[in-house]
Amino acid sequence: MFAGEAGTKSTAPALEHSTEDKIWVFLLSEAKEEVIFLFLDKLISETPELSQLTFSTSVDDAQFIILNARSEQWAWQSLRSTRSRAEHFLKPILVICETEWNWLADAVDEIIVSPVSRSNFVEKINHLSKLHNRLQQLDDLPKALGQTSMKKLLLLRHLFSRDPKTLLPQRNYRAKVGYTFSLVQLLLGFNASDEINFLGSLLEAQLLNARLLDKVNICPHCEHTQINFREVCPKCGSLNISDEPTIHHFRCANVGRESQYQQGMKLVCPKCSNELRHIGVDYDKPAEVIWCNNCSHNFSEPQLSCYCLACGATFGPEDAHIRSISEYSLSEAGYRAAEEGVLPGTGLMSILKKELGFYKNEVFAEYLRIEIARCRRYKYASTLANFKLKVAHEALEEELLKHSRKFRKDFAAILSQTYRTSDIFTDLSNGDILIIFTNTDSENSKIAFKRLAEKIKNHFDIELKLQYKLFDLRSVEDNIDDIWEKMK
Amino acid sequence: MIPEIFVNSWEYLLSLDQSGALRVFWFFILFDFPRYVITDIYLFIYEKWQELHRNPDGDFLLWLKYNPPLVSIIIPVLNEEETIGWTIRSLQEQTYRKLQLIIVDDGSTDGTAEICRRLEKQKNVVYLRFSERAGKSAVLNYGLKFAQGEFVVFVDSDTTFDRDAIYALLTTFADPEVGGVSGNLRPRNGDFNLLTKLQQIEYLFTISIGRRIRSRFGILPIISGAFGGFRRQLIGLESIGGHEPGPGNDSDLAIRVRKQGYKIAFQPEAMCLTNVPVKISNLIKQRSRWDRNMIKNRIRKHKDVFNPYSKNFKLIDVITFIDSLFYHVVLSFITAFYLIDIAINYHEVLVPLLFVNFCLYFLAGILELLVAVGLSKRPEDFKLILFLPLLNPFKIFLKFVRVKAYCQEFLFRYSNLDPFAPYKVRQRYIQW
Repeated sequence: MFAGEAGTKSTAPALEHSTEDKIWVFLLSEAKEEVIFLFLDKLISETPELSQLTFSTSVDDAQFIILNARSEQWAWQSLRSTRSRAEHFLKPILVICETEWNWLADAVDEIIVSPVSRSNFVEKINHLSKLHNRLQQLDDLPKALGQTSMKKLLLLRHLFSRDPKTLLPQRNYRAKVGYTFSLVQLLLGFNASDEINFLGSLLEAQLLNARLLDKVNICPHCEHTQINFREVCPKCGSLNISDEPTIHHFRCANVGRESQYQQGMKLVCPKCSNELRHIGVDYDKPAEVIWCNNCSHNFSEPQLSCYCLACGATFGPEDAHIRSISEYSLSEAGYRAAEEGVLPGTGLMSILKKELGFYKNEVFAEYLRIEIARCRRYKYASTLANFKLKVAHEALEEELLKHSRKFRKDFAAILSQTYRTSDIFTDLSNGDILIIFTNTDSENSKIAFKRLAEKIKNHFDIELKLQYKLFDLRSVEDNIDDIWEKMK
Repeated sequence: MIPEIFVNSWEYLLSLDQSGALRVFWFFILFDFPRYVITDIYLFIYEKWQELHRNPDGDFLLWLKYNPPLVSIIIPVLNEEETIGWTIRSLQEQTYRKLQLIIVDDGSTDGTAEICRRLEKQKNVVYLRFSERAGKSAVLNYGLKFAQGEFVVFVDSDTTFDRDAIYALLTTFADPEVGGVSGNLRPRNGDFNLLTKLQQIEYLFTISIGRRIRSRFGILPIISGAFGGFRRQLIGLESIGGHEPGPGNDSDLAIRVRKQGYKIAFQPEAMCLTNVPVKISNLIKQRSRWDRNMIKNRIRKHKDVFNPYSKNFKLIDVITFIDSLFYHVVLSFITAFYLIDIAINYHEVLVPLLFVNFCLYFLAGILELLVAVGLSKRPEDFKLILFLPLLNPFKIFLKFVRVKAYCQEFLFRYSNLDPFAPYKVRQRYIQW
C-alpha cells in the first residue's frame, strides 16, 4: 500500500497554503488507524511543505478529510456520513484506496491509489489546499434557508469551488434509473431518480446547464429502469411465439408452417403427402411469419410488451416513461448564485410572497368576485390594483444582489409596515401583482403606493418609480371573467 | 400408312436370318444393345441389390451427421441477375447446414453486383468481385483462395438444388479413394418446348444412367461444372493449382484429380436443376464446345494418360479415356458410316429397315426409361415415354453436330478460339 518513500528527502513542489498556521486534517481509516496515521504522520514530519498539516480528532474542526478505504462499501458509508452534513459537504476530501471505484471521482476531490508516494501526496494536498482557500473566500451561506434551498446552494457551491466541476452520471444497474450521481446522492441521501428530479429543478431554475447523454425507459408505475421488453402474440398476448417460414406447396396449394411439413430431414406435404424436394419447383417460402404456439395465430410483426422486473407491472412500450440522463454544469446564473450564496427567486418576488402572503390566482379571483358583490350591495369602496412589479424590480434587484441579507430584512420590514393584513395579493404569469385593497377607495390606495416609495427612498436612497392601475370595484361594469381577462 | 409400315417392317424382319440381321442391324447389335440394354439391366439389378443390403452408417456418415465439416460452395457469376438469387436461396435451403457460400463475380455489368451485395449481408455468404472479366477458371480459383471448408463444391449460378443435394454429394466421400463427385443434373426448363423435352430425356439417360454406370466401373471422366464437389486439399492452389484456363476446365480438373490417384464418382441423389438451351442454334453451340473440349483434353492435353512410362499411368485411366473417346468420337463417325452403308446397300428396303431400327431404339429407350424411373423414384418421368420416339433421331442429329465439331477441332483447333475465356486470357494460356 505504501510507497515506502518515508525517510527520503522530498523533491515535491511546495504546498500552496493559506494564511493559516495550521491546517487541520481529519483522518478516518477502514484498516487500523494507527498504521496509516503513523505513516502519514511520518510523511508529514519529513516533508517541509506539509508542515502545516495537523491531525484533528474531530471532523467538525478539520479543514480537510482523509479517508483510507479498503472496501467500496466502507468508503461509501464514510462519505455518506460526512458529505450528507451541510457543514462538511464542501470540505475537501482525499481518499486513499487500493482500487478506484467508478463513482468515487465524482464524490471526492482527490484520490490516491496505493501505494502512496510523497510527491503524489503533496500534490493532492496542494490541490485540497487551493480548494480550501477558494471556499474561504466565499461568503457564508445564509442560515435561515429551507432545507431544499440549502442543499441546492451547497451543490452549486460545490460545483463552483471545484474548478468548476461537471456532474457526470455513473452507470449503476442497482439504481432505479440505471444511473446515479454519487455526489448528489451523498448530499441528499435520496434514491436515484430523486437525484435527477433534484437536478432537474436546478435546471428548470436555469442554475445548471445540461448536456444530454442518454435516455432511459422507466416503468410508469415504479419508475424503475429494469424493464424487460418482450415480443408477444398480438391476439392472445402469449410469449410462446416462434419465427417460422411459411411453405406454399405448388402441387396442392397447401400453405402452412415449415414445421408442419417437416418429417425428419425431409419436407412432406401434410395435405397430399408428396415430398417437397426442390425450392422454386415443388414449393416456395413466400413469407417469414411468426406463429403463436398458444392460439395458432400468425402475424408478421409481434406486439411489444414491457414487463417491469421491479414491480411486476405490464404495459405497452408507448406507456413507458422516458427519463433523460444528462451531465450538468453550472450556468451563468448558477455561478452567480453559488458565489453570492443566493438562489434567484429568493430575491424580490420571494420576499414579497413571503411577507405579504400571496394567494393562488383561482382563490384571488373568488375573493375578487365576493368583494365586487359586497361593494355593489353595501355601496362601499374597495380597489383593485394592477402593480407592474417589473419596473420596480430592476432598481431594487441590484440592491438585493449587493446587500442581499440586509436588504431582504429591511425590505420585508417596509412591506409589513405599508400593507395591511386585510389586503389580498396574487401574482400573474406576466410578473404583475394584483392587489385588492379592501374597504379602501382609489385615492387611499394610491397613498399606500406612495408610502412604499417614500420608505424605500428614505431607507435605500432609491428613487422608485411605481407603475400601477387602479379600479374602483363599486363601478366596475364588467363581469368577473371579463375583469380577469383584462387583468391578465 | 402406319399399319402398312408395321406390316412391311415385320415381314422384312422375319425375312432376315441371323447373319442378315447382323448385317443390317450391326450398329445396334454391336454397340447400342450392350451399351443400353445389357448395362442398364445390370445397373438396375446392382443398384437394387445395394439398396437391399445397405450397411448401417459408417464413421464417415456419423461424422457428417454429428460433427459436420464445413463445405465451401463457390458460385461464379457473370450477368446472372435473374438467377443468382434463386441459386443462393436453394443453397440456404439445404439440409446440410454447415456451408460457406462464396459468390465470385466476373465483372458483371447488370444488376448482379447489387443483388450479391444484398445477399452478402446474410451470414455465411461471401461476395468477391472482379471489376474486369477474368474468365471462369480465374474466378473459381479466386473463390478457392477464400474457401475454408474441408470440401469444395463448384456450382453454376443458374443452378438450383434439391434440399438434400449437398448432403448426398458429401456421402460419396465416405470412400476415401474418391477425390471428386459429380452431382446429377436435370433440366429445369424441360417443359419449355420439344427441344428441351428431348434434352430432358437425354440428360436422364446419359447423366442419370450413363454416369451411374461409369461411376460403378470407375471410368467416369468428368464432373460437371454445374455441380461437382472435391476434397479441398486435392485441388487447392498448393496442390494441383485449381482450375486451368480455357473451355473444358471442369473435365480437365476431374482428369487431374484422377491422375493424382483418386476416383471420380457420381452421386445420383445429389440432384440439381439447370437451364438447357431452348433454341437449336444455342444447343449446337453448346454441344460443339463440349465436343471440341473433349478432343482437346483427352487427345491433346492429357495424352500422357496413354503413356505407360508416365508417372501417373494407370490402366483404369486408359480405359476411361478409351471408353469416352470410343462412345463419343468413334461411334459418331461409325454412325455416319452406318447410315451411309445402309443408304447405299439397302436403299430398296431402307424404309422398313429404318423403321425396325426405330422400333429397336424405341424399345431400348423404354427399357432405359423404366430403369431410370425405377432408380430415381420419380414416377412422373415415365410421361417422357411420349417423346421417346423422337429421341433417336435427336441423337443422330447431335452426332452429326459432333462429327462437325470433331473435324473442326482435329483440323483447326477451334477450342482455342472459344470465348469461354476473355481475349486477354486466350492470348496467354497454353493452347493445346
